[in-house]
Amino acid sequence: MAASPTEQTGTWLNAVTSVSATNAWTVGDGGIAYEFDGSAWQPRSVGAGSTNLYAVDFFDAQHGAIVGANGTIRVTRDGGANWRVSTFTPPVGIPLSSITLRSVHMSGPDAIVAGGTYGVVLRTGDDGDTWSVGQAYLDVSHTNYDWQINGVTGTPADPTRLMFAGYGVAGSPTPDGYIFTGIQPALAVVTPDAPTGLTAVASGFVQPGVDLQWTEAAFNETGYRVYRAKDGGSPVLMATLVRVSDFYAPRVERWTDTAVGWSSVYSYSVVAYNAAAESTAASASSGKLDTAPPTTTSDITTGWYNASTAKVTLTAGDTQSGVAETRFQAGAAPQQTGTGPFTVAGEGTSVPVAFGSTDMAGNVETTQNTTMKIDAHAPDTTDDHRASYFAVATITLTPAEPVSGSGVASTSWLLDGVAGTGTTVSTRVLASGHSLYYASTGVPATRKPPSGRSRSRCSVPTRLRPSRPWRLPRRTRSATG
Amino acid sequence: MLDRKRPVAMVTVLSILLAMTFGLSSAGALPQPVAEIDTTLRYQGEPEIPGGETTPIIQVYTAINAIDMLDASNAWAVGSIQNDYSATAAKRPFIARTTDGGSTITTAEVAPNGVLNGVSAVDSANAWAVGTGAMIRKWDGVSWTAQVPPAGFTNDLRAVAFADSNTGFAVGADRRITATDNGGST
Repeated sequence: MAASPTEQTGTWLNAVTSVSATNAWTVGDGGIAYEFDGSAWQPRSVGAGSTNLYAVDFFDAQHGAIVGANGTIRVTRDGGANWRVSTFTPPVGIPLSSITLRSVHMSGPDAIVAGGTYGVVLRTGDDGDTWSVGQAYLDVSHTNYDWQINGVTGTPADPTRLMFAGYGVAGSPTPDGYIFTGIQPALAVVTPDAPTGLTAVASGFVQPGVDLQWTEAAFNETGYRVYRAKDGGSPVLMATLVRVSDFYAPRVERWTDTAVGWSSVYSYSVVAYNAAAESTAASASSGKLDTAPPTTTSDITTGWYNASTAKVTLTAGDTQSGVAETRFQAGAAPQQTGTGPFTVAGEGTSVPVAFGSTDMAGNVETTQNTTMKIDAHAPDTTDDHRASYFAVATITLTPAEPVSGSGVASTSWLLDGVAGTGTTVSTRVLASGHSLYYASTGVPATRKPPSGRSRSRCSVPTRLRPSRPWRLPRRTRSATG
Repeated sequence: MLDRKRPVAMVTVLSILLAMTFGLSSAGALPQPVAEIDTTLRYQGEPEIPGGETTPIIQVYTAINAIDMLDASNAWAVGSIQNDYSATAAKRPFIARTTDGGSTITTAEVAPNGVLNGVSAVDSANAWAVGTGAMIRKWDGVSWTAQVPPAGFTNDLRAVAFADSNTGFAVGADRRITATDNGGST
């Protein structure tokens, strides 16, 4: 009814199993495998290379296992489309390469029993992720016999009941056959292995988040549960994620926690779960989500300030957790909190101003140190008048800035009630004398009215007084005041 | 593996049990025990398996190559048996059947020569065994009868699997497969 695959002399097909009347598998020497698809035998790769394969069994159309030389085991969950490599730790003293598995029986969709040389009996309840390994033998010392299990079988009606058959060889080609019954414990669903490589990375620019990533270690999980402890509190179940595991290669899983705040630290535990239980947890901490300190700026410029304009306003910003506090200290005053505007007391070319902020997550901005140039006093102005002049009197006014570095903006004067500016005053000599009032304005006058004394003199010129009485010779004395 | 101990006498109790209980086939009495084997099944490994509640069946001079359970009680195992340990001793097809979950067996020899390598049981009246020289035997509920492979198919058979009482496959040497959809009648 179904033709043989390409015949090859000397190559054995060692085992066959029927899934249904229209589906069967056979395996053989050199790693060959064929699947009967209802009309023909199709070659299939099970990734066994050239290793001899000795047994195959399917529990249903999806779940199957193949075993062979060198402890080879292949497991499928998708009807043979893919085969997963399964390995076991051989009994002490027996190299894996010397173990030939000659029989396999699936007692459940995920439960496999295999037997082979050295009386090796392998059992798994999780599709070969973990194996229980034993040796069954009848001699006092199993080293005297080469025990070999050639067959293992069971019945769907009672998955716990197994029968094994094989023989022991004691140095001659002729063996002694043996059959024994085994009762294996009811095959409970095996607890999945814990995921590995969990990382929790803070993310988000506008809205905070924590990106979780891990790698599946089990392939019998129903999904994952994510537990989270906020700021060292008690773990709370945050998410139950149903994920179809990748049976054939570990899958990287991802999940983002968006129910987070910038200011907190989150500790995560991720477990794989199935009907049996939860795995042990993989754990990772997010660290503080907001790690960027706030930024504080001031409106301080490099120009000069006078006593009334020496006010500072700070602007603090934090795009993540927000600004919790802004501190400043100006001149010799004690530190204060707030963003101002605050007046800076002091005078000089480098009146110190320091400020900085802290965000809600406790990130402290590095203190910013800056200086202001403040000239709190107007210039003092002197004149060089003499006791007497002839015909014309020329007087030079000399403003002197008390604060080093600042400058004089202008000098203004009133000569006999007539206003003028500049540092040179000329007039004809009168017998009655003259009155001269003058004052200077400091550099900060470039902003707003002149500061300090300059301001008082310039803005209220009617209050000007002669800075120095003087009289021209031969004529009258000047007014005094 | 030097200094191997050669069994010289089989456990007497077991041999008596075998002689009394097993329905011996027409092929004659089973080989007399000349070996002494410790019949306690030992298991090294955790968790414990097998359960240990049944004494293993041991048959000297046999190789058991395959076993198939029908249900918790019924199973067939197949292989070969010979008269002594000599390498030249002729091998005869050997079938062991249990109906009590492996506590006792009845044995049968179904041909003068050859080795059975595979067995597949579908129900109590449908079981097949295959072996060397394209040997195919069917259990019909009462006895084993020979079935004829397709003309020209003379390869040694190593394994057999029946999906139901009609459809079965047998595989073996030279990568050859034979199949039936009528229970092996043709």
